[in-house]
Amino acid sequence: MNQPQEKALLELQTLREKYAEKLPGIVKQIESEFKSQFTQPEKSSLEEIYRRVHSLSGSGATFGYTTISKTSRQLEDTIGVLLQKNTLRITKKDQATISKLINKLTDALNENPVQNKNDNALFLELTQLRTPELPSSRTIILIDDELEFCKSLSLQLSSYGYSVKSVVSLDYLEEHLVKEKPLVIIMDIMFPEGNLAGVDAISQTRLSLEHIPPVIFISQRDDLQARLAATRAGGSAYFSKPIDVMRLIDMLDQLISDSTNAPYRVLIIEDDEQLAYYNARLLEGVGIQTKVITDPFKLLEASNHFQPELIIMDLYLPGCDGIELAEILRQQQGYVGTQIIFYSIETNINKHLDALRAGGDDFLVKPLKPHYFVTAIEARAKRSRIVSSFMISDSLTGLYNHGMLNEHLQREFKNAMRKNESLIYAAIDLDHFKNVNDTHGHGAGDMVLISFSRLMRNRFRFTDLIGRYGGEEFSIILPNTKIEKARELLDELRINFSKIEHSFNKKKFTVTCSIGIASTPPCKTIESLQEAADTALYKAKKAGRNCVK
Amino acid sequence: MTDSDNKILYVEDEEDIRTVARISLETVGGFIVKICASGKEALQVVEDFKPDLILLDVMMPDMDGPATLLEIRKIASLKNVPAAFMTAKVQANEIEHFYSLGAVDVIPKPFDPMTLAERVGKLLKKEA
Repeated sequence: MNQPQEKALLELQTLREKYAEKLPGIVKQIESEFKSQFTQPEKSSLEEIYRRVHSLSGSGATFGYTTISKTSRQLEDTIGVLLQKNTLRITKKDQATISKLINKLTDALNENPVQNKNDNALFLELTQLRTPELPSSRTIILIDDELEFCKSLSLQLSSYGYSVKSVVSLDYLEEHLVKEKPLVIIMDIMFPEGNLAGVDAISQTRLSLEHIPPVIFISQRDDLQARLAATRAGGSAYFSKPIDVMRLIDMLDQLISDSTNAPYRVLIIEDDEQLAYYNARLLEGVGIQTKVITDPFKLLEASNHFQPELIIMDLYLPGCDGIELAEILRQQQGYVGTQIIFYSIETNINKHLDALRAGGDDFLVKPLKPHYFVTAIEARAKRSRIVSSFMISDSLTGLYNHGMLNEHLQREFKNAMRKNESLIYAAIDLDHFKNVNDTHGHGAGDMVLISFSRLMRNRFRFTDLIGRYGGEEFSIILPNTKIEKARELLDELRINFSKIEHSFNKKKFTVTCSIGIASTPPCKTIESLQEAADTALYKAKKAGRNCVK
Repeated sequence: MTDSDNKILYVEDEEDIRTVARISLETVGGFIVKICASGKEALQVVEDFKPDLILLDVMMPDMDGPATLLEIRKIASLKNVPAAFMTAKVQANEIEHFYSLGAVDVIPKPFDPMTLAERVGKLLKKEA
């Protein structure tokens, strides 16, 4: 890293610390200013508060206080409406909304700031620190009157990185939700209060809380009446007991992933620079990552580097046309799954057909209303991600397959050499896996493989690359990681996995794994890195399995 | 990345963001930076400073970013100086409005302190 950047990082860090110190004071001041508005409203003061929460929302975001920033934004909107109404009376209802948001602000003071990704990456290089692996926010609330059931389910869910708060009665539901801010609610249906008491409690809560997270209902009952009631109360899913934990985790992952996924990557090829950047800004507005190129001859280079999931292409470009470009892209294996969307003023239907024949996925005619444009692109980017996840992954576990992982290894290895970073490659093998199938029958093995894959996905960073080599062999690539840290992380994985209780055909069992780690340096080639990991794995097996070597 | 000839005027009412911006533009980018806390302050210095690029926060008390830009444009020597808005509000119609005011870029907030200078550098190159 060059010197100015290093200096800047240190300055930023100091600034962050200062901001953290003064944040409670800012929130307190907003709170007290509001209080006086409730009794003696005054337009100029309200405008002052409006500005104050606006700047808190901005600075909060800059320093990574997401909740503070979002909540301030909500406050800003609420006051904005008040100011527009031009009445000075703050109704009881508005007061309640404002008080609630201020409480939320105060609570959020405890939040750990998330650092901007790039900034963070650089900062890590500087200090060799690592942020905690698990986002602290994977909290789930489980409400069920059977204590034993709560205990066993929360134990199993916690192995997959969820932090479960169990509650055994329907009392104080609202308070629990406000306090825990769970990402998902798992709610039993039958309680001593009644056969549909859980459903009723959710419906009630919806009336008083403006936002409640997705709800998964669980029940002994499996009749249509109960399911219907659950759907009407806005339930996202329904599981009857005994619960299939794997399916439940799938559902949780699905419900949660929408908010935690990495942004979609969209590449825009357009020779009108102004228009290209304008469109890019629109997409950035909904959190899509964009890259603009105006010279079609830079397409391949940009695509290789940026790895777009979707490409927006003008039909007429300097030097060659969009149709030719699409053909070229489609000849490259790596871009089979990338969506190509033409965006042009061309209305001739024959041209549209040519574009689709060349491998385009859709043709949008310019100009589109911004909202329509953004929605159309976002929906297609989402689709593109789903499709490619099927193509590059192992069909059973959803991890990278052998070929794909090797490709990633090539890239990461070069990258590590260039940046002079340490790269970790680990070979993992499940112990006595053959016994699992032999003892517990067909299907048990697959279940264990899926469960192990899921555990790995939840336990590692987004930048870590996980693959299944076939059978019960897995491997993982950890870029920019020191060997000591890797050992710690992988040992944690080993211990967590050994604690998972698998059940198949009503029989319960546990499985362990052995792990061999290799790193660069000392390994100087990809082959020696893989070989070293295999040798280490062999040692781990020799040493009695269930260990990391 | 030291392009020390380029002068940037940054107008922002929030003190912390001013400091982050200074680190980004001065320390990382190596630009000559003048930072103003309000539109009024900017109008007092802009003519003498002769910036190559103006960055404006959108929402500021008294005189907001767009209003400040309109005032700056009235100064003959600054009629064509490139300007970009910095904003957390990202509604499509607003972005349209900013471009119609002659902005060359709309930079979303929060910005990444380590890459802001790069983005600004590109804008300067484009406008040069």
